[in-house]
Amino acid sequence: MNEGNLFFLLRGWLWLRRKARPTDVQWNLAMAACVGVVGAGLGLLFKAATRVLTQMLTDGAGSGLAAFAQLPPWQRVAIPTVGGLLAGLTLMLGQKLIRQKPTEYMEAITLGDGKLPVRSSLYRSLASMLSIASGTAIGREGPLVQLSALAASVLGQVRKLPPARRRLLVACGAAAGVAAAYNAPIAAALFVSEITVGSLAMESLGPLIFASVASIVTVHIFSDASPLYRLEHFALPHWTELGCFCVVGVACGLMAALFLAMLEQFKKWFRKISVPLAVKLALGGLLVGLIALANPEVTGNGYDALKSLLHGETVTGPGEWLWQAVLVILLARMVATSAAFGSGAVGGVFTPTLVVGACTGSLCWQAFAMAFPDLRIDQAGFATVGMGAVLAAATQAPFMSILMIFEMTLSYEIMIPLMLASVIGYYTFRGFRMHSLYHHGTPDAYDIFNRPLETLTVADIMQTEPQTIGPQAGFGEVARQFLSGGLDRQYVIGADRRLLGVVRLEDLAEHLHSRALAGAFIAGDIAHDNPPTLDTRMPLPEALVLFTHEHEHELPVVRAGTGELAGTLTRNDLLLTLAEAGKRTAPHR
Amino acid sequence: MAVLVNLDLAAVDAADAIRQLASSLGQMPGVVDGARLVTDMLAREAVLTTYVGDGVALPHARTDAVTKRVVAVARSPKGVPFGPKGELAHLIVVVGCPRQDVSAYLTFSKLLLRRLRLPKVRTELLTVREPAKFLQLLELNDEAPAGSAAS
Repeated sequence: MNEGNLFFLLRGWLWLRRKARPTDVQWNLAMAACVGVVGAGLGLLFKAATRVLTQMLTDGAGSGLAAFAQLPPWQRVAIPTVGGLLAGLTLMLGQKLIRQKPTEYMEAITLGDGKLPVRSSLYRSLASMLSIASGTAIGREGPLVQLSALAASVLGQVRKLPPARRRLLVACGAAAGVAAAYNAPIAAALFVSEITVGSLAMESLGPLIFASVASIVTVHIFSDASPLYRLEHFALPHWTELGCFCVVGVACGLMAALFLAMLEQFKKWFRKISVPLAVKLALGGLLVGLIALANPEVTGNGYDALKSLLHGETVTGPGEWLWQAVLVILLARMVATSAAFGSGAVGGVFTPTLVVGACTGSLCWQAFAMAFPDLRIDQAGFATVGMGAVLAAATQAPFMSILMIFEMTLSYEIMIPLMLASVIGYYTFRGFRMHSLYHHGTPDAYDIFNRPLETLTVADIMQTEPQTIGPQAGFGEVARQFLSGGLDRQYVIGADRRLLGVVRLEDLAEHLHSRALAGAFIAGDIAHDNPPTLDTRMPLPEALVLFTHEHEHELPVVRAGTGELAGTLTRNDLLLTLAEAGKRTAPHR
Repeated sequence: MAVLVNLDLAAVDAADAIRQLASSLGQMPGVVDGARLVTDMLAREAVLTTYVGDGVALPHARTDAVTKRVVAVARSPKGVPFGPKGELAHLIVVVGCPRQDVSAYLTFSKLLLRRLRLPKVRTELLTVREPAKFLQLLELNDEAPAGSAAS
């Protein structure tokens, strides 16, 4: 590229930056979009791979519920058992070969400081795929979300982002995964911000929304994406009927507590059995298989069962489900998922939770329909509201739950009873003082956000590998770096990486109109000397004070004592870190 | 800002021209170390030529040798070999600038070069006889009175 083109480009670039004033916050958006696309792609791949594996295991009988319903009884028992065994062996082998502390997750993404263990996440995903493909009663969405988050974490580590931004990127990956898994982009963004990030501030919500949208668009391009459980004919309830939904809310809150208690109980039981993990998982699979003998719909995450509940398709044809049938589904599902989960199978419990909710709602409807023969709302309406209420209670994230159900059903009329029941379910559950589905286990000691704020220094949260330039570099090189790097600061370093000055992109504007002058200038001519610097050992509050005085959005960090340039820190990263660390030290709700 | 004018510079090469002009600035107010000013400017020129084309050169340095900006303008009827391919510079402006003074320095250089890019201004600069007129053409005479030719 000749100098003329270079300056022309740089001028355009400067103009754009002046108009748009992008900071690292806006760059987050661009990366969030990449993460969204990659996350959705991984999700589609995972789904496809699982489907192929199921077909192989069930001898090509189809996929999902249909595949298992057609199998002879012995295979219904054998396949989940063998699948559990294989998944368990994978996990054991993985633990043996890869000495990496795996992140424990249900569906929760432990964001930590954005560094997810890559290899252990991969073998766990493989184990999860085996469990899911063999029909174990567990959700596929959990690993799907985890994979997407993993991709984001890798990107964050490759780009050497500082912890705060890496963490945000992982959150974006999770949002992309959720959006792709449930076809619910709004709820996905809120899911992650409400449950994992714990804030609805635009700094984090913006990138999350971006990732969700990118993800959902990708899914739409590559697959048929329609609402998971579209709800037809739901009339706005009469105000007297809203009373019924209050009862649904309470019932769902109780049922959520019961379900979570069961999950915990099975986990404890399995922990007591001292056999290898593979045998435990096989045992879990065996239990699921035995239940599936009578109720094939317990296999998998329960998506098919949900669909037939919501669309009023019983085994014998369209119509309403009998309460006995619903109760059986509910109990079988709770036991099967608890068994699978308790045995240590890797997967999610999101869709199983929805099944519990839909069954609870249906059962409530049966009771009301008997008591009030002129009830206008049908079983599907109650089942839908039940899904939302149990979800709100179990996740302790009512806002996300309401939107999730709305996006899954695309029925606006459902909103009023849904909101009512969800909030009631949420508060009912709180009475039990139990941990929610997404309660984080023991905090990771390596996660910098868990360290006391006083012990954190600038070195812990800075961005390493800043954009640097030698003092004698010509103007052309400076311009080229600005164009390719996308940053607006270049740090002039001398021998032994000592920081000499800083070249600001905005200063160059003066030069660009006079190409001749630009030709005669070097980095040293246009650098600001002795810029304000942070010190690697500086505590964060001190850094904040400096930022307040300097009106800079980014400051260089030098190594204490030597004056050697170690990295840079942006104001936004500092604030994100302070906010997150502050939240962790606050007492838990 | 004080400006020195030399309308009849004769030098064998860029270093010679810079040495002559920079040392002529030694007695100007604001110069704390005349010798240092010369060496800093030569060092800067050695890194990358300050020849900007059209027979114009702008040797400059940001240096601790001055506490305020000092400028010397010169005309060389014969020309001084300045550019990377030995191009002759007829108009030479030497600028010494305090280290902290980045943006004012850039603005000053930009304005100066904007004048020097105009062919009409360059033609007139090569023909005028009075130093005051010379400075006026460069729009440099707004402040302190122009000094007289040094050497």
